[in-house]
Amino acid sequence: MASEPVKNFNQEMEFFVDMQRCIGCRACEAACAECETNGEEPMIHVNYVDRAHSVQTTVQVCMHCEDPACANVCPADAIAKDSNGVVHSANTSLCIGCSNCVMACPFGVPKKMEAAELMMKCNLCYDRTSIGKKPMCATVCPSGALYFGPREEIQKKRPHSTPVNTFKFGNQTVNTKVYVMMPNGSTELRVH
Amino acid sequence: MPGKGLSAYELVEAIHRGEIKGLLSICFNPIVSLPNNNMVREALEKLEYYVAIDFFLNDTARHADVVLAGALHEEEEGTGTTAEGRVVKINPVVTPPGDARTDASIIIELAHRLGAGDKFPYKKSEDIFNELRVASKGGTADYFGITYEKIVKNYGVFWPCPSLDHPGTPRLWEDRKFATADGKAHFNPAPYRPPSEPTDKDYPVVLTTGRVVSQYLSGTQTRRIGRLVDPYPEPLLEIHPSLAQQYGIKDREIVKVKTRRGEAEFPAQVVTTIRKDTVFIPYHWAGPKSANQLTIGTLDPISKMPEFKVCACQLIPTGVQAPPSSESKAYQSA
Repeated sequence: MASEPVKNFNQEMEFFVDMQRCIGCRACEAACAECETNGEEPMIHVNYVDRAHSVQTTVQVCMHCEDPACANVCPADAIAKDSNGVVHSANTSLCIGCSNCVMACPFGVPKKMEAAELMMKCNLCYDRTSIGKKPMCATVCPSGALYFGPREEIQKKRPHSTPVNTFKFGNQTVNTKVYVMMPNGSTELRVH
Repeated sequence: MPGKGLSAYELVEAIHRGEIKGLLSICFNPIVSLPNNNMVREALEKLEYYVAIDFFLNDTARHADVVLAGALHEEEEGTGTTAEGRVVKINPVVTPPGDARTDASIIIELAHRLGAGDKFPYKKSEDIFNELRVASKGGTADYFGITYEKIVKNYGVFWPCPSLDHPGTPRLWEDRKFATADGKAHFNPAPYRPPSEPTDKDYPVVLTTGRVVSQYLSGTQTRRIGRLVDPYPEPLLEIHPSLAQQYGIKDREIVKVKTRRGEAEFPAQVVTTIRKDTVFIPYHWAGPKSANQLTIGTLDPISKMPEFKVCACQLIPTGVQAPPSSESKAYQSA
């Protein structure tokens, strides 16, 4: 379902998530929920990793998979990836609220909004990124856990980290448009 | 400048002793924010006349004879001074709803009605700021050289700024002249003073109180916002697994916490991120969930800050599991 690439979408600008920098302030959730296109619901989620033993939080934004499980399992063809690599939220006129995508996503991103009978998820602030602006969450993050910009810049700023976008869930490999920052030398993130 | 008055807790103590009989407060929610709030409640009940100005009806306002609807930061013109000492301009973006008015206009009209209008001759917020400029002249935080025009032009001016042609002081002490007898900077080690209420065999556990990230101060604003309620809907008792095991307390079991000033029940949150001899309760809630029913009213002799961070408590497990914290409730009510 690829559409024409939007001219002003700047492919030089990429999304890097540095989970260990998340301080749990939830500014990203608040900024995301300001947006009326999401029905004022946050499409990014901050969670404790293991509250019983740590105060560390982590942030989960849609990873925009190259081969998105959410779109593959959708029986209504409501989820589309465009030629810029952005996986869009469910088309509201097609989504039947079945929650297949909610269960299929290995990152736990899509959420079923019960009141709306719709799945909703991050669309990389398409209204902003398609005209060369950063996603709202990346503009408010005070600790650099969410970074949207040129790769050279983040590599200069974080010389001990390397961006990774290959995830292994058991025998399943998932490649994504969004990167996570990992220790230098890492090539993939394995989830057992 | 007016003379030194009473700090917030001392003021409530003076009301309790019957020395103060009337109170006009602005954005003051002592029934949540002050320690030993069973005493605070008694004091509020003793007031002969109480007028509360606030932008939302707070938990303390139920004790007021008259409540006046004030204004939010976004509805007022004025200045704010940031933690780095930068004086910035605040401009209203919306007008107060209904009959709500700016706090300054309420005070000025009250002054006129009470026959003291000549002491409040202000026509606009800048007139009040200009009085602060004169009042602070020659002081440590000297605002005299700061004007509205200068603030707007420079995106803020840092105090001290002693004269109109002074650019302000973004970084203090760059001239290495300090306001001490010998002009040198002094390290000022604070002598250790033990807490006023040490633990003992009756109250063997240290109680400390504080905040959670999703709530702000006494919650007058933030307990009304579903999205801020959801991440932490109710106060929990943080307790270390080894202390919990000693009392047989399980995660989310309701625990009665008792001090010499009050008692309240909280679900336990068993975490290794707290000391083994200490329990923690956040203070943002009112009524039976208020942590400040338990805290002690001892003040630091210099700062007058109450000892919110340490008092002695006992833990009484109830054996009852708290129902799950219902995160989705706020969404449903929206």
